[in-house]
Amino acid sequence: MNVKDELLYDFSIKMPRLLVSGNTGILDNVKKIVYITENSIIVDHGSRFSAVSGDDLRIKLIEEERVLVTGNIRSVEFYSGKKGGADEK
Amino acid sequence: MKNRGSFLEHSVTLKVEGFEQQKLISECMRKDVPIKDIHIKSDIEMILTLMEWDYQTFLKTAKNKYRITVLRERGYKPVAKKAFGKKSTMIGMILFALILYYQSTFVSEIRIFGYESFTESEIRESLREAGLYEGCSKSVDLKTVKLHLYNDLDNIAWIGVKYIGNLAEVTIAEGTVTPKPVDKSIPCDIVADKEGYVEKTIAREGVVAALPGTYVKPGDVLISGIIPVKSTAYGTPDVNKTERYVHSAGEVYVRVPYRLNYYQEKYRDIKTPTGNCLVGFRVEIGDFKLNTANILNYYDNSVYEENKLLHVVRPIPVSLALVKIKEITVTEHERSQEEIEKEGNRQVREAIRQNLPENVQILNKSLKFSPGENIIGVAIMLEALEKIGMEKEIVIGNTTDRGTENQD
Repeated sequence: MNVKDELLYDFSIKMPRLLVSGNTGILDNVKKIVYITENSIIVDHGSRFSAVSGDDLRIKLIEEERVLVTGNIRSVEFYSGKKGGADEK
Repeated sequence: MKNRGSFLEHSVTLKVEGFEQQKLISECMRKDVPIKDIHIKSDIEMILTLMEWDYQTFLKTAKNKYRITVLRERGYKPVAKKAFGKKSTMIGMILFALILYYQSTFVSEIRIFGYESFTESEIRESLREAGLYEGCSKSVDLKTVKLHLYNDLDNIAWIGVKYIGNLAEVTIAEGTVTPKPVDKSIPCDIVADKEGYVEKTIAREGVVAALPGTYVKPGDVLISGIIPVKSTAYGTPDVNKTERYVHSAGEVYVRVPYRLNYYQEKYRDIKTPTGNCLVGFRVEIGDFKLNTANILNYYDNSVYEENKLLHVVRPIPVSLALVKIKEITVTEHERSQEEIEKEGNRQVREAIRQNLPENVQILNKSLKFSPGENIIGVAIMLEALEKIGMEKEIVIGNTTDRGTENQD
């Protein structure tokens, strides 16, 4: 990864950024919670959406555009951009 | 970022009931309200935790669309508030602090270090007489205690008393009085360090100066280190007598007489209970002392009996006892000759233990009773065979007594 790519990555504040490890998931750049149940959490990152699916999901902490999720995470999905948005596919 | 403390400081756990829970959470995110442990129970019910500072903001955000119930409060602030809010807790804590302070003003333990010739009980007894004992106030003057110990105990070189919390640490350094032996290469005499009649002298080196039967006083030469040498060469005149100096060695046994005076009571008191008695209690809490039986005691002659119920030093010195004062009548009976002799023999044993050195042979002992008006004088005569003698350096051409200086 060159410097340009790294800078673009760091300043992509409206793009989904997820870190999943075992039973913990960290979702960054979260602007809004779209849907929340015990089996699924869908969040809006501004220009895209991401979803974490699993069992017994819980939000441990919401703070400064960061959502910490715990539970049995089975899958992570990304959805295309909003209508009329730059990332619309 | 706003500094609003942490969840550990003060947090509230809420039950939120209403539709579109995600909207409420998103709104909180927008207003920068940190939320912890969000548990979605159903479509219309969730449980979450937020900091107490954000509670009002959360209520304003939720408006009247949601029913909010505070389930519990956590953090050290509500715990402290709860604790200090109760009068009984406050009183208890103040009482605890007072007890803690009060018990810190007493000595709960005394440790003694450095003693060699004295026994620990002797030193403890002396300390008690000076006012330093387990349970006494720490305000006792340590200078007075030290002074008392210096006067009471012989041959004390240094005393240190210090407090470590409630512990009093007493350190004693004993002085040494052992005479320094004269170097083997230096000529010396063996001189008497005690008076007595010479019984036997075994001179390994030197000349016997004190023959058996001689009465010697401290300082008298027993075995001389100066040996006269007479030349046997033909034609040598008598004036050419010379001397040889040696390091004297040997053993000298002397009969040392001891005369000791003791006293005995001529009469023996016989205490007869009348049957009257007083019952009370004795209580001591710190410096406060109360004995009800002593207050009410009006008997001329009485016997005090005590049954200890409680005696603790920590956290504060408390002593509780049941006391009984029995009235008695005292009558005097003259002691029989047998009793006097029995007591006399006990006094002889005590005199030997107290006054005679160890490993001596008792040659003779005699007892003489001199009855007085109320007391009987007991004169004890003892004769012991003791080994005496100490080395004293011979200083040639110098009148200064270096040997004595060294011993001092």
